Amino acid sequence: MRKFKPSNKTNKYLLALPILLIYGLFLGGGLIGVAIESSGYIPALGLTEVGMAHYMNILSAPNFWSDLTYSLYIAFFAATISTLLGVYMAYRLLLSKHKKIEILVKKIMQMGMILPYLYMVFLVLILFSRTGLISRVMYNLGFIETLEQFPQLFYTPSGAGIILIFVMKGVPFVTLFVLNIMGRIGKYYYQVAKIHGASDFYILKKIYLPLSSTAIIWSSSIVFIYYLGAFEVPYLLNSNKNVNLSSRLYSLYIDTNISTIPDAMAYNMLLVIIGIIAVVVYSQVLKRIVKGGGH
Amino acid sequence: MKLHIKNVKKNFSSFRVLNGVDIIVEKGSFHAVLGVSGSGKSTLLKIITGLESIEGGQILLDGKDVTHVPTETRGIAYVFQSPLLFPHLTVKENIRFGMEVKKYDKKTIEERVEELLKLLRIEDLGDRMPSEISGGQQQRVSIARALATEPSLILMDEPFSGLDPALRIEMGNLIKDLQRLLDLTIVFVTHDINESLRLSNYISLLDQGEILQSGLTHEVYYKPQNRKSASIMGDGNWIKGIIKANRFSSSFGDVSAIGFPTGEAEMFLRPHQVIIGESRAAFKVKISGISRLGKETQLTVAYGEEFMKIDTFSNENYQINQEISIMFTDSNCHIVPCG
Repeated sequence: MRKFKPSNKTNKYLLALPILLIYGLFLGGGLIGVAIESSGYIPALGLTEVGMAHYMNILSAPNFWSDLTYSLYIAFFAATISTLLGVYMAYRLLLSKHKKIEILVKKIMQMGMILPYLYMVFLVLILFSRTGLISRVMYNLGFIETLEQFPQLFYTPSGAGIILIFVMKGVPFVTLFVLNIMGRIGKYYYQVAKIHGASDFYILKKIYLPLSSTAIIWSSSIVFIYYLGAFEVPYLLNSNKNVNLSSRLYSLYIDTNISTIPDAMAYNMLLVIIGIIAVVVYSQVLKRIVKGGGH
Repeated sequence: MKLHIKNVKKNFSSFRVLNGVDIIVEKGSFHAVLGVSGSGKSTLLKIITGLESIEGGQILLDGKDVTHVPTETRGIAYVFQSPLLFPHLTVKENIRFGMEVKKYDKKTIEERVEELLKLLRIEDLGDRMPSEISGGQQQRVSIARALATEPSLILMDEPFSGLDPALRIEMGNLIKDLQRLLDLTIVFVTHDINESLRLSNYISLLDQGEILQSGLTHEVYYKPQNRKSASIMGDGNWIKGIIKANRFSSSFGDVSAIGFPTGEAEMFLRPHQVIIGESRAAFKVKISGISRLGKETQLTVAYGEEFMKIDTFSNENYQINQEISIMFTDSNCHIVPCG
């Protein structure tokens, strides 16, 4: 029997077809279902009137735009900080001459990636809350006179605690993603640039950022869209004043009043549209910054 | 710039890669470091640039100790074995790189880039990407990039090893011309004997992390200090004999040995220094082996119990067991006292 070999582009697409079909079916089917329900058409609940009323409800709600701004703010800052730290960590690991330390750091990062978000919430609360480990150590060492002097990171409008957790989870992801590509680029370009008198930062900006730009843009965009859509961490740590879109959506989902389902679905659709637009804008801006380094 | 590599020692884990390497590179010289793969040549160059640290010794540039000076401030250029052009930059941008780092003004950068493109004969390639040019052209660009900031010392790590033989010779000639034209100081690492002989005026022989011999290329070639030095640079004939009353006597007769101590010694001759032809001083020898290499023929001849290698460009059709006459002049004989 002749063996099937993907020798050309068409064959490669054919090989990818099964997984594309599954994704298309679930995601596409799901989206179509959500779109239909968001229009108000849910015959099982006796709702048959189709229209944009539920979208208008949400867009005209007094908190929608502040929720959107807050969501974008959290996602933008968490993704930007994760990307900056992640890329820097990947670069330092690439240049590291201490193999054992490099392996240890990678293991810690892998652990950080595996750890569920909820565990991270508890960990960060234990460490960074006003009654947490760090504030107590600082208090006992005399750096602060009362525990209240330790900055309040959680349940605040700044969303500092949420951003901190997202960064702690995002940095390992970006680091390992980018390091994979930087490792393939290798250290030789670093040596060439160094001999020409370039500083480490200059080499990162002019050589490694442009060469690993695809990995940086992808990993950063992935964490950005994830932070925009993630609900569990903001749901647990939001202040009363600011709520992000995903937490608001989750509250609608778990609402026992089933008449809110079309609103929840419209919210869902809006979040998808906002997410797509935001990630396109974010990745384009990032592309300009990262690729601009080489010119 | 004069470079002094002083008693440099380098270990990789517990393995000693360089063991007290001592080389002086004179200003304006083309200094080859010849050695087989794994002898420590590339490591030595990286130590000179500061890319590798050392366990002992010093690197002196014009007498100034730069052992602990960071790579980026040493002002040394390096041409790697592979061109290593930055793949996302055009040829011109690659050449500009070092000048931009050192913040040359724009006008100077543009003028220098044009000058180097012309000098390296790659004027038409300025706007191309590295992936759009050949290996030889890429290596020219990497040389142009190295020359851009007018470095006082250029290190070259087998830069033509990836090129075909004809291009290798062409590139070698180009570098030699540039070295003369710009009065460059070049340290050129290679394992190719012919390349080192063709290009360098000074040579150091590196073997298992130690310098066997250093000096003017033709002196090291014709007057090796020992059998190992001689063999690194190619075939040779060692003839055993005795020095007595300023004469070296062997089965091939006597040659002058003024100034040498009395006792056992060896005489060294490269195969092409043995002349085939009749004269009163000639010896009759029998051909025991023939290798024909196109324009050159290598003969192995027997004289009693001694064997000798001879290189000749004669197109005569030599035969095994054929008797021929050979001779050599006193001035070509290099005498090495034993012990």
